[in-house]
Amino acid sequence: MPYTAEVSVSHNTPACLLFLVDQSGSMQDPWGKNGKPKSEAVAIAINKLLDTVVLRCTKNEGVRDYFDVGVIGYGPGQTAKFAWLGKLCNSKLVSVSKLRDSAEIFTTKKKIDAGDGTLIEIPVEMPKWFDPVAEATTPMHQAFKLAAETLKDWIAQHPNSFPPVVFNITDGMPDDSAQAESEAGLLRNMATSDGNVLLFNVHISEKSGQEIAFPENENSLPDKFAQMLFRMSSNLPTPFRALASKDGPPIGENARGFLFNADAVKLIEFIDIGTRVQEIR
Amino acid sequence: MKDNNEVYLQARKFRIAKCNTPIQACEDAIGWNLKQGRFAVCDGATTSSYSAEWASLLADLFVECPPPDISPAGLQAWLDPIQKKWAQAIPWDKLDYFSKRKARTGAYATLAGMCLDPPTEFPNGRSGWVSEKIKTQISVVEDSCIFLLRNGAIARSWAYTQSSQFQGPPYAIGSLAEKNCQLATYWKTEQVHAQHGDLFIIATDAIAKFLLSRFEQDAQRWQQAREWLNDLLFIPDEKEAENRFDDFVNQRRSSQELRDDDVAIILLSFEKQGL
Repeated sequence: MPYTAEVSVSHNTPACLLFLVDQSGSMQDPWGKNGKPKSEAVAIAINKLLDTVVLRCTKNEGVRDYFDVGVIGYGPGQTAKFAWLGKLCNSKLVSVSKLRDSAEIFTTKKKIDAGDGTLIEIPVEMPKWFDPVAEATTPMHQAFKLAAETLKDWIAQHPNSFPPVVFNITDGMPDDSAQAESEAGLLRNMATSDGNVLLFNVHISEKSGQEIAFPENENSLPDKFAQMLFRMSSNLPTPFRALASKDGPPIGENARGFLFNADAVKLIEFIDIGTRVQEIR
Repeated sequence: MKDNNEVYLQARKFRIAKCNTPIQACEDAIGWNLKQGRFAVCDGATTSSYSAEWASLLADLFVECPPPDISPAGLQAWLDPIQKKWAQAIPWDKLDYFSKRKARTGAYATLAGMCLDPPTEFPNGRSGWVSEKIKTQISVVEDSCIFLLRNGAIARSWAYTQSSQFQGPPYAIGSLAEKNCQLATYWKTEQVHAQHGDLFIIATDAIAKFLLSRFEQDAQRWQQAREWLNDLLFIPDEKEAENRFDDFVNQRRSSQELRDDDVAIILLSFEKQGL
């Protein structure tokens, strides 16, 4: 059965997570209840995802390199390129240990309930690897092309690993939709012995309405950009569907890895790295 | 000297880490108390840190003093001393930013344990004649399992009964009190009368799933697994038994029948005849 390869350090079969981030000018538009620019919301989401990856791999002795990780930004200079900050600025795919060692820890403020209903601000340390950027157009097809070039080498080095998982986070207005769909198709056709590359799309949209996760068809989606991103998304593999269904309604056989204004952390938790436990509520 | 009302009881334990991993890094723990006839396996979660330490504390606690009360408050009172011990053993001041945050989220482990009732000392180390009228008190939390083999088949299993249930992350016992709100719901117990010829298997998830799959799918291959378990019990030399166990597990891992995960297993047989 595909998509069952063990993500293992001892067998040198890591998984690969590649994030493609829309950094085009439209990402300056406000989004969500607090009206922050989409680019800021996405930077927070990416840093949160990377933080989740590092924490998942952290053990007593340090970190276990279960994943190779990359972040590609597309927009500035009307091109696509790796978008790491600071120590990683010239890097492409990096191991989790490198990710952990290069985190910039900054202090921000978080509001919490003081216990009597009033809110107080407390300082909170947060890691970051990625800054918000919003300029120029949306060369999404170039991001898919760079992803394919990067993953070609990775697959050659890890032919029996769990296939790479690509997350494209965007507000969904590519320069050339047809070319983007075509390049996305080529990316999805790449494969390890355990299955094809998985392409998941996370749509950040200013359209109001409820979050949509793993839809089965495009008819229920609110606009043509969401529909295009749905078409570009991989079917959720059976093991992922089983996990997604465990605590919620059943996920249909035709469900795709597409999220509309929904949290993407869940998608990372689907990737199995040994004995896990339920999220404790 | 045996009389007609006695059975010959034998126990053996095996533990092996993931491939290419030293046994010191194994996060599955065994609790083993031959003076009281109490046994447990605990599977520490890979996704938490300090989980081997937590699994070991939990397994030892179970065999020293199983929970007298499995209400939510009773379980919390039972776990409290080892939760404190676990937190005190972490070198907090030496941990970096990520390790500290990870450790603060706690460690987790599933559990399968069995107590002979009344508490029964094994007269000759891991074996001996004991009263026939012996009961076993089974305790399980999620995918660490106990199987009762009777007449060559899995007659009963706790808590999972089908290999398809080993899917997705299980509920597990936490090293932080606030994470165990639902523990009483997942803690399953049952008292079972042991009979001549019974074999109890207490096993963590990977090997438990393998055994259930073989039993469900293929009579011949199930027979092979059963003979292997029997051999393991009756090989007199401990070291040879361990080698035989490791070889079998590694072969099954190579053929991908057995997931490459830590393994802990305890075998407990009730026979009419001893060695």
